[in-house]
Amino acid sequence: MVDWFRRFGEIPGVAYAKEPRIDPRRLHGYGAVPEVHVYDLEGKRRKTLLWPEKGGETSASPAHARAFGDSTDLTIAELVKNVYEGLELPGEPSDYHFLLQGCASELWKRRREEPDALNEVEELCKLDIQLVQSRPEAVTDQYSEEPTFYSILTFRILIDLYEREGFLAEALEVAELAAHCGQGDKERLDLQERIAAVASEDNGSSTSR
Amino acid sequence: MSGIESFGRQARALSDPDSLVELETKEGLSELFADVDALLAEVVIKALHREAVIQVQRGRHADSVSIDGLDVRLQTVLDHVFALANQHSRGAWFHPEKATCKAGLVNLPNKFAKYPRFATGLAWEERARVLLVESPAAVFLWAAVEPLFEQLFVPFELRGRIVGMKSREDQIAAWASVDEIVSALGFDVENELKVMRYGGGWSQLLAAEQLDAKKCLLAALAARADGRLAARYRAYRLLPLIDRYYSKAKDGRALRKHILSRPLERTLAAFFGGDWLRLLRYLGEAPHPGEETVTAIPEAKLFVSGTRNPDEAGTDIRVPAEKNERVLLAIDERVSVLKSFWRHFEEIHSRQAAGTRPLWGLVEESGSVRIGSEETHSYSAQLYRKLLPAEVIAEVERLWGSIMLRRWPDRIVSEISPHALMAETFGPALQFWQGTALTAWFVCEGPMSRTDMAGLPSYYQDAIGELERLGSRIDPALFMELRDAEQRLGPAEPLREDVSSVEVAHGIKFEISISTGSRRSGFDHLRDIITRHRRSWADEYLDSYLRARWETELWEAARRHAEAIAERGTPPTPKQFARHAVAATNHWFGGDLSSFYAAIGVESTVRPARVKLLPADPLNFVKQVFESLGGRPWERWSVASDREEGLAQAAERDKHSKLEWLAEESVRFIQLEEALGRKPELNEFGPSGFGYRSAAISPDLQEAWTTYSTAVEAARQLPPIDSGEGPLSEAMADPGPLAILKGESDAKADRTGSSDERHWLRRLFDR
Repeated sequence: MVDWFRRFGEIPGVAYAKEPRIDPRRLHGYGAVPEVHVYDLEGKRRKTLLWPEKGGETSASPAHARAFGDSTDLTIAELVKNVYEGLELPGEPSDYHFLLQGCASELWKRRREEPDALNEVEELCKLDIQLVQSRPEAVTDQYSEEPTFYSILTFRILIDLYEREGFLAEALEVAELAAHCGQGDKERLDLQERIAAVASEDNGSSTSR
Repeated sequence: MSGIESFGRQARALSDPDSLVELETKEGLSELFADVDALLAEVVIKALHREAVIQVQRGRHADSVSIDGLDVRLQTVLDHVFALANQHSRGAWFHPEKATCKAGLVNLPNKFAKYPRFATGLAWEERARVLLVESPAAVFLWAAVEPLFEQLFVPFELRGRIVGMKSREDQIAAWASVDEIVSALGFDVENELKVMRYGGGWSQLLAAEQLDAKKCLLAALAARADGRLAARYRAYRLLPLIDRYYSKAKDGRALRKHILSRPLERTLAAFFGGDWLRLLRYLGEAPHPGEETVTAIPEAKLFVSGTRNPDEAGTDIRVPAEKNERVLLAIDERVSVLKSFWRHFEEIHSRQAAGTRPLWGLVEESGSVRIGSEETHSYSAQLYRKLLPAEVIAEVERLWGSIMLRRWPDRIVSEISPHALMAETFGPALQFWQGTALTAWFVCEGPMSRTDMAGLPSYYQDAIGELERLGSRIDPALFMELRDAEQRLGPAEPLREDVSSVEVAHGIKFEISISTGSRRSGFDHLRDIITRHRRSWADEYLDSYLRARWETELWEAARRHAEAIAERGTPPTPKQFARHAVAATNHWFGGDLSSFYAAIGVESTVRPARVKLLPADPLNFVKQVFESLGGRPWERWSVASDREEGLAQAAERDKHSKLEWLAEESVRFIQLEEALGRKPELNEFGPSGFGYRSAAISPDLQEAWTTYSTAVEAARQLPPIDSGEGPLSEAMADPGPLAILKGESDAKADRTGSSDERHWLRRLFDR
């Protein structure tokens, strides 16, 4: 099954309102509709989407193109603009995941130079986690015989962001969501242990390490 | 002066900072600290009032820090009291060369004001590695400011980054330290601290409430900070120093080296400008008769190549004449081979023509032995073996074939990559001229270049700066001419390469070709500009440059030696000093530390012995280890036919790369064996690196180590493989420079995915 959506905000289970300063109608790829192609590989029937582009068609959706463009030379403002524009373009759920994750990771890397970007990092991670919860297949290896999740960086980033401030309950909440995707187990256990240690300070027991 | 009457003895009886400040006032000693107190108060109060006081500027090799908003008077105080040269002149030689400045810690209140929810993490990460010699601000922060904030802001650590990670005992001890400094500074913040304390109810707060608690504490600290805090803090730091002094003093006198622990060195630097005698005047005590305060290190002296005559040097050091001869010979021989190398390097570059092979590989960049490191379209491993005369290669391997490892200065062991060490010895000139020529080549001949002609001054700014410092400046006209010439190069012509063609089903074929970059005509013009400038540079500077290279390295190490004596009062042992002498010793004396000592006029207490276990042809040796560990040649298939084939290929690739690493590291195993006089243990070799790859030999770590060390030893005993590809055989079968440059070598075809390609990619993308 290959799903696509006209914009990120249309994915059921995702609560996202359009960034008001963006006019999606002016964006390249806005309103594109893919054709579904069916083929057999290794005895299995598979589907793929082909998106129209100038002079032909491509398997990369407009949102995909935003997710995988070179972002090294972009400023923080350009990165953020790119991600919010990309969310208004048609794409598959995995395209939106890589778009959100890529931007969050890049902003996280640049946090020392641009601390202001941390609010954006938090917001993008939360959006990605919403997506992962509502569309887990977006982050699953479709060719694996058993369900295998990709490594989802936004979990790790958000856990780090909270943990280093001492917001253990918030970090644990994220780690528990990560556990549903088969990751962050060590962090989850570690956070549970730390929360118990802090609680023990106040109830007089001595489970603190 | 009677001990009982001295100020210090009275001060020692006091238990709190306020009493000490009072006594100082009464005895008229407050003025002694007025400047430093004012400076400290300014910085601390501003920081507590949320100003970003400390600014960090990132640098390539070291960062720098500055203090914002000081007026002229306080800036003068900062420069005068804390400039490292001034602290040296007062006899303080204990400062580290580099320090980590925790700027974010001082700026924590500012971070909370600007980014409240993420302040602790941001503050923790805002650090700078600074050279103290370049920055009075860094010395001031290191000595006076950081220790204050490290202690005062412990609650933000305990309730931030490390919450729930410390034992009850550790936390209680940490809170005691917080109480101590809060009390010393005269801050009444108990209400604000209460909820943050161990057992204070922190676990019952939501994140927003925890954040509010931290903000309240910061606001209370800011509200209670006043001009007296600096004097109080100073007194708090001085009390342990005073106590330590009298616990060691006899008749009121004590030797500095018996008093100053590392933390107390900082105290002396912070409040007495590093001046021990000033501390004694403050205490009202006389110097110990055995005290020697070194206010200037003796000028470092070299005893080589006629730079200085030992008799003129005016020291009591006696270096026997035959040792001086040995030192002279060692340096002269190396300089002579470097010049010989340069002549060939110069000629080869000047004759390079468009359409031939690039000269990347003419200068060795790798300090290790690589099994897969052979040839790509762009890179030719060990190209120097094919282009340089055998006698030059042999001389390089003789003179740079042995080194000292800093942990074992009594042994001279084998250098793994003599040609890389020679290039390192030659220094920035070789790096610059080779890099410039290669850039011209890759800009014109493609497929791509790490920079362009216009980008050269920026890309090589370190080398250019170093050449200027060594008195051998690159003429800026070179860059202008190259920029102009670049404008006149031909248009970019795309280069494409067919990668593979696979028939996936009857009649259906996948053909993959990739764009590999582009080329432009006009290389000869760029080459001639570079050649003209390179020759002109060499005519004017090569001799003086090479002299400056060895003199600078020797002077630097000699200065370190003199500083170490100034700090300790006795010469450092060879093991203590080896890290400062390792570059000079390995570049100019083949790893013989005693020759280095002779060069700086110091009688050596070490007689290093040459131990040679490494086979003459390290590449063949590494290949033998690789084979005996079960390694075999591996080539990546372009397209895997199914998922299983892909996974099998990945597993094989993983095993291959691990065995390759283990085999390549076998030369380091032998090097360690030479240094230790026995086979190294796993923990000496490096358990983490080995452990990561050991499964390629055996799932059991210890068993893998036994198999590995046995294989290495066995390979060492074997005669060399007659592969015809080893460095020595290649050197013997030298087909001559022109044949190589015209592409007539027996170079193998490009091997996608091999380690030489990694090297190639590194060059292309290392920007």
